[in-house]
Amino acid sequence: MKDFSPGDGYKEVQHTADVAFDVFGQSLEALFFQAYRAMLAYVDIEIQSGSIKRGQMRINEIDHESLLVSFLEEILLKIEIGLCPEIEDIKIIQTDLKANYDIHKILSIQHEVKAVTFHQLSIAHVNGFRTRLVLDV
Amino acid sequence: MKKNDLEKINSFEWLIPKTFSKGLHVPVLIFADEEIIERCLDDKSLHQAVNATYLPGVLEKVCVMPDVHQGYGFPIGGVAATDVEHGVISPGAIGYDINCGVRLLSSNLLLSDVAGEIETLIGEIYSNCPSGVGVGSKVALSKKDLMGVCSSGANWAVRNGYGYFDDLDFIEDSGSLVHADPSALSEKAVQRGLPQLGSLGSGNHFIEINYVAEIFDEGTADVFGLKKDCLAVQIHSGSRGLGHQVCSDYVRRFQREAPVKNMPDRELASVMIESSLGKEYFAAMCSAANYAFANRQILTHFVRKSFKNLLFKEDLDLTLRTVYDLAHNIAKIEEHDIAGEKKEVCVHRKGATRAFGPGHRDLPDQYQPSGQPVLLPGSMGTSSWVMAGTEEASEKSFSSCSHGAGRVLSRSKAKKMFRGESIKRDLKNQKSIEIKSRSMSGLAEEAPGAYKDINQVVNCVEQAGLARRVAKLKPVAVIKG
Repeated sequence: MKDFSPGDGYKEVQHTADVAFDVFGQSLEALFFQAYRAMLAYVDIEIQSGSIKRGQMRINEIDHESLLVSFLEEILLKIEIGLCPEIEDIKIIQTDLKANYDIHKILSIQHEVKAVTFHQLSIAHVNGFRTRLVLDV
Repeated sequence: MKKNDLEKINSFEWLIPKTFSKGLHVPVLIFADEEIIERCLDDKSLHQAVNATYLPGVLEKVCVMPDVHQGYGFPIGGVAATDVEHGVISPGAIGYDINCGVRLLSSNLLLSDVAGEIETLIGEIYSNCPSGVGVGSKVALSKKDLMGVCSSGANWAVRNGYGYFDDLDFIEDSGSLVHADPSALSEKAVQRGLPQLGSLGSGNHFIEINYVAEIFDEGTADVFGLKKDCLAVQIHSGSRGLGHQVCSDYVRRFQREAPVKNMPDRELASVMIESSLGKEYFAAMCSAANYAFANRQILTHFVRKSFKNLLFKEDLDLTLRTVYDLAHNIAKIEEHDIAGEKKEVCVHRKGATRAFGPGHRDLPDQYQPSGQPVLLPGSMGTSSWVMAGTEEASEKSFSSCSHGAGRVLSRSKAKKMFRGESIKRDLKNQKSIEIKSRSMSGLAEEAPGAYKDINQVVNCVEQAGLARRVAKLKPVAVIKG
């Protein structure tokens, strides 16, 4: 997932209390990856070079929005115990997600994300995929 | 939303009528002055309050406090009461940090007695009270212990050597919510709770050493144990990862198992309070609230220990008495007057504090004549206020009040405008306030300029009759999470 197309990305938008991003992706997988990048950019972590192990996550949810929330939450849970998953690939079939990642030890972290919210989360499919993502910090 | 969508009741109360939009169950009552109203219209906070009026079973009105700002689902500074028999409970109208709250400790120590030792004192507290992102607790907890914490709250902490039984009298619900049932917690919530009990956390959480700068009501201040020029300590923390996980788990389960149609925001997912899922969430929420009460109790113990370690002299009274400990992200079953009749309702307070007036049966004997202490911490480096609850608040706001100053700047704007290092230096050089923080960018996000003027919020609160001034505290040292 290290390469992405020009239509992929994220942009921070103003939010008084928390942190919000507009996230774009040419595919659903790209959208999820950009959401992951946006969240990681906010928490601002320094990782130890060289992964300590590989891992895989599998999630099933009721829709794509819930899938995105659960995916990002899984990342947060690992960060909370000092581990950062570097996502290698994401595959989404309907409402099933499979992602492979390398795990790195976190050396330092600047900000905490308490939770991924459903507020204004609505994945639109028009010329690619986009959504607003609000994180409780 | 525009200003002319609001009806001005008086200089400190505004109404968004039911006619504002189709389907509103109740109006929105806003406590604010003209300037705060103008600011509210710049973000989505009032839209979020309007969204909460669609909650099934919402009663009378949704209230908005003067420290309101945009959150997720429900605004911060929002209060909504729902019918226990025919209404819902909504985790998004409570928040992820369940029972985030503030405890105030008072002392007989004059600032002048310890003025030269404040820097080392705050350093001692900083080393005894783990704070910041990813920093866990010093308290070793087994899973069985955690179940005890979540069942008994601050009572567990006291029974295990963290503080005094007298503390419990001065905590909302004695620091132990009876409807808690830790079996309603997910394994993830348990695992997140184990390493964090007795830690401050990050973001806007803090421990602050203050002195009582001004007293407005001698009698009530005396009852609260607040003496002019004496030190006080505020502790602001919550239920840490365990509480966050409870909210995340149940927002998702509510959507999966009991979706409510026609809600404008998925974050306001809700279920009937009396349903089995509603009862399960309430039991989990109370368990997380108990964890938070225990957390602040343990932090209190380590603050007391720090005072004793550092300041022990025979002639100094080092007692730090709990003035009050209150929650500002919670749902409580309380009795209120609804259309002239006493009724049990579920009061959701998100970034809002309970403010019971004189004579309320749930207050300790000492506070019966005065009403409960209401704590409004200011932003870092500014004053904090101790107020007292009023009877009027019961009619106007389901006995609720502001919880602090309330943000005006987003975190990204604050980081662009302020530098953590210069805030720290300026507060030290210009106001003699010591700051401890692991994160300079976190400090910039919490810059005093990112918040409303607390004095303006306090004025609105008092003019609207929600609470009355008792004392003003000024900071001398702050630990920012």
